[in-house]
Amino acid sequence: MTGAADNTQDSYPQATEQHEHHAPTGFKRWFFSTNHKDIGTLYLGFSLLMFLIGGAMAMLIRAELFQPGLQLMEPHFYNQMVTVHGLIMVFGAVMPAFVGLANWMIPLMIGAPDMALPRMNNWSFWILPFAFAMLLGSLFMEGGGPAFGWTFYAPLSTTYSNDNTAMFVFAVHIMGISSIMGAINVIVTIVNLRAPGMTWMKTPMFVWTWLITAFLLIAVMPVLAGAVTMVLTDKYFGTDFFNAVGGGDPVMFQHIFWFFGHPEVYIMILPAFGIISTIVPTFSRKKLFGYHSMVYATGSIAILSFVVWMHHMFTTGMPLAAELFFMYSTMLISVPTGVKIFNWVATMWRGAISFEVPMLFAIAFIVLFTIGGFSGLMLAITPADFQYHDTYFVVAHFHYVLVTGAVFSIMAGVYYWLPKWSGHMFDIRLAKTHFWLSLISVNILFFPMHFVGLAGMPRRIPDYALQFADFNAIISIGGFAFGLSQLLFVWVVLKCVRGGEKVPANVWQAAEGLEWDVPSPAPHHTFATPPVIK
Amino acid sequence: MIVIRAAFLSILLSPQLSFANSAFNMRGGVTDISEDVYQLHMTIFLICCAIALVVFGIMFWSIFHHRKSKGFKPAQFHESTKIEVLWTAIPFVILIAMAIPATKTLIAMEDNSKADITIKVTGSQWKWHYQYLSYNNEILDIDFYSVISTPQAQINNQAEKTPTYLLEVDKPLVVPINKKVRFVITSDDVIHSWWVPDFAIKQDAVPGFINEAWARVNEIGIYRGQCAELCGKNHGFMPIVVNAMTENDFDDWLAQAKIAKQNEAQEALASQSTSFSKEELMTLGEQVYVGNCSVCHQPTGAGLPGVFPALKGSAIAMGDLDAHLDIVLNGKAGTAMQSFAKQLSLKELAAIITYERNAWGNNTGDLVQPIQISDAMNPQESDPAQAAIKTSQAVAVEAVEDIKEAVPANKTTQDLPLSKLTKGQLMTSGEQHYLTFCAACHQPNGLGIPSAFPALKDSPIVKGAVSEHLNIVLKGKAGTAMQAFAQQLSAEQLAAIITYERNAWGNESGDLVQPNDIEQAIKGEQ
Amino acid sequence: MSKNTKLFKKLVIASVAMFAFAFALVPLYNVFCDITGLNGKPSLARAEVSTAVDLNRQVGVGFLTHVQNGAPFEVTVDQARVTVKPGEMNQVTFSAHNLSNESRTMQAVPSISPGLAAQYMHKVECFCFTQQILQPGEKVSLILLFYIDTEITPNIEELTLSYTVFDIVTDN
Repeated sequence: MTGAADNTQDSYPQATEQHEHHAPTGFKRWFFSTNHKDIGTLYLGFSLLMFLIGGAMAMLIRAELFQPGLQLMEPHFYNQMVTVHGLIMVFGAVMPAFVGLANWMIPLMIGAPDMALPRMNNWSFWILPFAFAMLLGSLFMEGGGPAFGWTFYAPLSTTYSNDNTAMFVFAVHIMGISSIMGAINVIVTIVNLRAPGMTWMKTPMFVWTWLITAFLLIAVMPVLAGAVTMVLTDKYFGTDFFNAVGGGDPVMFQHIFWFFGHPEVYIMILPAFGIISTIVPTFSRKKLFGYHSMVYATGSIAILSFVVWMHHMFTTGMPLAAELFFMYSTMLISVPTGVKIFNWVATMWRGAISFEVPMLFAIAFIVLFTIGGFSGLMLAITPADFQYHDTYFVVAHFHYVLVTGAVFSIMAGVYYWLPKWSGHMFDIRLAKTHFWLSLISVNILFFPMHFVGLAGMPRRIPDYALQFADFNAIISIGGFAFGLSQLLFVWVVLKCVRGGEKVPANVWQAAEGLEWDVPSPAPHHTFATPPVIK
Repeated sequence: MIVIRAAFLSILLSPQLSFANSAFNMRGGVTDISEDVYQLHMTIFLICCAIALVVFGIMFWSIFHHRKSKGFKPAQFHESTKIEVLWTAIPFVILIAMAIPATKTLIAMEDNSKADITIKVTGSQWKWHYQYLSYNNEILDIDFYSVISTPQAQINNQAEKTPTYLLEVDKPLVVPINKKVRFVITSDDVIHSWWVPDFAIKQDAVPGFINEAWARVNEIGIYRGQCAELCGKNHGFMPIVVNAMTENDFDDWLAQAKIAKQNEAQEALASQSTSFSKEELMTLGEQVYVGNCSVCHQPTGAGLPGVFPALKGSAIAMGDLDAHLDIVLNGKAGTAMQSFAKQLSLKELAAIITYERNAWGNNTGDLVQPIQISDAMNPQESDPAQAAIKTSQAVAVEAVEDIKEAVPANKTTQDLPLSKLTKGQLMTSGEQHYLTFCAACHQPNGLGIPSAFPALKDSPIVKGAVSEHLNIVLKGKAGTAMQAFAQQLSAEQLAAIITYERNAWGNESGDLVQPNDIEQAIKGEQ
Repeated sequence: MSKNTKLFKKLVIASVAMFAFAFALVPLYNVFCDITGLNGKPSLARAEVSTAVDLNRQVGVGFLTHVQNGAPFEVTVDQARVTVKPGEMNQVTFSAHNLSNESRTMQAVPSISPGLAAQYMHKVECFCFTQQILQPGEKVSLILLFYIDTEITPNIEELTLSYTVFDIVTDN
């Protein structure tokens, strides 16, 4: 860690001295890069790769669940798929994608020449591939990879897991270190490198949401690291943190995990709020409604996220008072979340709305995320949660929040800023096709999950009773369609990077923000001299 | 528009009319609680729908009418404190409206007291075990495992699936209707979750801890559920089936279960003296193996490398018979290998071990008979008289010896001359004070707790000299839990207690101790 | 020291502190459970003898034994349910039988439901305080000496004390 501190010396003065044409190329450019745009690209590329790998696992899961009975895989392998799909999507796809967007956009939005700690930036990215290589590698070892769910509840992950658990633990450690380094970098950049005149209340929403997210990361990723460390020592070094016989408590694992896990949920959604708050005003040609209340709502969601964790654990058996407290606190979160949705709708109200691809994704986000929010509110109601808990209703809920929420916002962001990054407009017709295919298939995929969940289908099962068969077939078809649609997304992005219609600096005309002042594509070095905000 | 609104309102006001018990929705279930939960679910769902209708209605109105393509010119407003406060406050009110019924239902759910029947539910990888503990205050000892009965062939798509596919067990849990059934839930290995949707019960089974839930079933029927917490490989294959029957039917069932239990014991005895042929053991062994072992060790005996060891060619299955017996009977702690001693009969155990030692080319030729199993289970059938008694009561007394006189004196500040009291007065207040200060250890009936706290009834101290008795009460007894009460109680209280002790429970010494005697005894000491 | 280095150091310290906090959650959780009865784990410390009895109340105490999977023990309780007055001392005898032909060590782990009742259960003597070594085939009687606190909240009329018996595997 002390070595990393040296990084801080070479923040932006060095960048200003560099010459444009000396940017290295090939292996060196990417492997030793300290440039926020290159690292941002690396993060986004990596996240896309992980999205496809995790998605492939989801396709396998859906293929197995297409019909009742065991067709393709052994239940033990199915559990590995469920586990690794979750881990990859959370830590490999969604989080790195947001970090990638932060890397690319935060310096551009606040008028900074680069991230504050560029060398650490390089590190925080380049340790990630090792973490995922280790995680994926364990799948091919004897006994297979982790098979205890991404939530790795003890003692299934300790006493009853196989010896490859150590690989999982170290992979999570590395992911955690990467996230923490990324978060530190974001905070230092935002706090210290905002252009002169950019006061806190003039800071763009995306920057605000990321700042709060970064604090959440610093608060909870170390706790996750602690939890996996305890799993490691319980399994290999004879400690009894989660073992009743030695005075421990398996349920304590869940408390520690969800103390991390609930804020983690907001880590994956707050930056999405930032993206939507950036896109909606642009295409409504109207300023964001209630900027101040947006900032406060984000802050209160972050704070509330620390006092709701037990709502994941209502069935573990807890006193009535605890059940009531966590029911009320969870319901309370819907207030600031509601404020955000109302603000977006008010931003659109009496605007001059147009429907470019980023806006289509943003509107889909607002509607579908809200559906996820409603099912979240239903899940908060403790007595009803006894019925919903650990069923496909929960699966539907968090996929609405994470796929049509987080992932849709990332796609909205990518379509929004891709022309800025590449200098080319993407193929609009293909992109719209991608949008409509995704929108329809994602709902065929996740909406019927509400029904099977309510009708009583537990989650994480490789085979199911016959009454769930029809819906599962529909869900699987939706799943395959959604999976295939994403190949179109890859194609649109690649095509746009390779070439296309040239775009001006302010791609979307009505867009506001410093990032639209720099030419498209954004040059390797920008804002060598900080702009002044009036 | 009005029609739609009216229709919507009628649905909102009568959620019980909508899709209960459909393939789309939560079940209304068969208990009052599950019905409440269902109503709660529908209420919240419809409130959410109403909010969605309003919010999305406004948004789509805006999307259709405020388009750039229609030449709409954007407005300039971007904040309004009034409206922002309003839409923070309104959700609050709605939330409170939701929280009230939710709280009521929750309080009812958590009331586990006054059960008519108590059943212990134990989850293990991957079956449930039920033990009836008590019924109408009668202690019961009926227990059995409940294992999925769907044939492997159906799961592997080699046979037609029956309607109860994956939701059927060999022995369902049986409960009476209209009785409060309390479930005490725990686990043998990892965390499981016992879920019966029709009862609105979902409680985690946590190893080393107990959880409770209860149900009062209103209708007879068969109710099916599943394990709801990922518990390893066969998490999807440990269903729960509950057969709810009338009280009479339940009583019959219980009587039969008791007889069956006796028969089992006799069969076990009988099988001990019977020898079976190899063919018979191998046939039965294969059956039992497929039902109980093949999930992990695989039908081929090859196991799953790195997860479940192979039996084919294994050191245990081909090596020392005792070691093989030990692991099958007692399991292996810290692994998924559980103890089968109580799950299977002697004959089945003998068959399974014989099968494992001779199948898949393990050809050891060993033949295991039920008598060998029973010997292995009861190594030294020592006569009960020899059973060692390990009591740690000596420790108990030592432990409490250092309870100090730290208790502050609660003498009632009476400096008045001490009055003489009648026997009736002394006995009444004596009983009261005895129960408060002494009965904790010496028990209300004066019998004490043998070898921990001495009895006062017929005790030599209480029936002996008054001075001895006074001495021990006032000064306590060093090295025991008996403390000095001189400073803790008033003279009246002490007099009453001692009088009571000397005359209650048939001690009938007739001695009356007056407060004055106490005072003098204390003074005499000084 | 530049602004960046300063802030960087603060944030690193914060992360390390949060890592330590994860481990601090373990004792915090135990304290929290003691206060709120979150997990129903009663204290394993020897309690002092009760000094007063509340005559006006009755509390039902049920006993349950559970031998953890694979353990070759048979543990039973003589009385499955007793009704006690708060503050009154009670003794319950359990018997344990080692079914195996080797010396085994057992550890009983108590758990109480409802969890809130855990803090009111005082054990003066309990076989769960220490590990018990049982010789092959040995049968022993084990003593539990307890009382219910007079402060027990009025709405708890019944509680269940369960002992889960574990086989302690020694590493040899």
